[in-house]
Amino acid sequence: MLNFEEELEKFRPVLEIDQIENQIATEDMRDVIELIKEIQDQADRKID
Amino acid sequence: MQYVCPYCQNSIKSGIYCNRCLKRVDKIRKIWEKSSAYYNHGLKAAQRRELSLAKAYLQKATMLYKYNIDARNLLGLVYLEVGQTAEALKEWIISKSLKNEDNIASYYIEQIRKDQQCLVTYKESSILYNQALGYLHQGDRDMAMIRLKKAVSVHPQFVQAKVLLSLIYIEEKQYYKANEQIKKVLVIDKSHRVALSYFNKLSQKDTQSKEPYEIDYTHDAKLQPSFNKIMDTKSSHIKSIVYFLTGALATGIVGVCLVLPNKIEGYQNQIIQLQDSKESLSTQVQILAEEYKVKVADLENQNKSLQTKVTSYKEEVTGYKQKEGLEIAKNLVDEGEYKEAAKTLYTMVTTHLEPQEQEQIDELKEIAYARAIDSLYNEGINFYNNEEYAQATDAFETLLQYEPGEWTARKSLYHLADLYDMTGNIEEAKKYYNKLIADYPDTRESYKAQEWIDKLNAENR
Repeated sequence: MLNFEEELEKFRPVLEIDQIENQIATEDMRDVIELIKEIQDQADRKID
Repeated sequence: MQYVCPYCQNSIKSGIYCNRCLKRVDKIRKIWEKSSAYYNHGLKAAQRRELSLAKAYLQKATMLYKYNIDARNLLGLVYLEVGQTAEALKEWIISKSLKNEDNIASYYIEQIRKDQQCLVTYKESSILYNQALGYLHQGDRDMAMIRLKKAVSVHPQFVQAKVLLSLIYIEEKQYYKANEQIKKVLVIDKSHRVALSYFNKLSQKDTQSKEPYEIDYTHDAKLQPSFNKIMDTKSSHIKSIVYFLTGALATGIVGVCLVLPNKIEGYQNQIIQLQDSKESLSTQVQILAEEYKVKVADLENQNKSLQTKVTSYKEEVTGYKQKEGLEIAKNLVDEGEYKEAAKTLYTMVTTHLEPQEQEQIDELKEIAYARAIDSLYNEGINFYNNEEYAQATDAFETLLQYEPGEWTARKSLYHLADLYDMTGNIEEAKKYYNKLIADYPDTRESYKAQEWIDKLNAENR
């Protein structure tokens, strides 16, 4: 009926309470706007 | 919604330029608006309880524009609703760090902090869920099922755990239970894609009737007494005994028929192995014995060879010593030490000397002996006259060794006998008088010797 192994791959471990701090510290908080800004700054530097 | 200038972090409400840095923000505004649109969609989806869909929209909203605080706070609420408390806390903490004042995230965090039970519950269930996932990756469905059952009982809002548990039930063909879990999930989150797919699959199966293996026996179950069967204690005891004996007999038969032959075969194999080992060891011992014999014979040969060499070396040494003795004797004779030379020559062994060396010895003896005899005789007479009888005895006895001529020998024998007589050694005196009589008869000394003997016999001394 279902391929168990395939379905199992859809499940990932959940974040535990003790891991919140580490997760926040290591997460990349840049949004799309900041990425665009970075690209723009790089382009401006190249022109200069 | 208030926007933050990405260049100078100034808050902007409207316009295409930032008030502070005067940079164009019209293109960036489009991203802001897109983020707001996603937030709106997410909000509507959340209101319809389509939480998975809401989560997707809100994640996009925050990805486009991280300062979309409303989207982030709502995302936290969605996480909380589906039982992922840690994710919810994470979003609210980030929200609070991006905007510290006038942020409902602070309130949410405070509520969670106060509700310790909520944190404990989630902590336990998250650990159980992660363990179950680990067991499933190892192939241990039973252990995973136990963990997940515990997780969903502790934290009924935990959607992921329910969905995973239903997957196991489906794999175990416990469709009734799987359906139960999926229905509970869809009550919480109508748009859970995986749960919906399982629900569709389960709709093709019989999920209404519970299979016998799906029945859980709990402590609440009460045993109904059966009035049809009244226990007969006496016969039940007898039956118990009979059953026990039958079981014991059956065990014995199984043991004899199945277990014992295998054991016997095992022991026989061991015996064979031990015999083989014994033969192998005997062979090794024989080989070693042969080797040792050869070594011993070789060592014995070496020993013989060495002994032969030693004997040869000894003879060489003896030869050297004898030659050395010859040289010493020569030197003594040259220096006029005739008594010492005669003593050396008298005690010398000449077995390892050459013939010409033997001749030299004889020549030296001839010279040394003659001179020594004269010297010793004179010394003997002097000692005798000085009444030094012991020294006189030594001198005469020594010169007699060197085979003196007749005159000297006679005189010496006579003086010796006289000396022993004077010192009271009658036996020695008698010996020398008899020798004198025997060796030199018809001499003045022999007559005197005879007179002494006769006198001795007459006196019975």
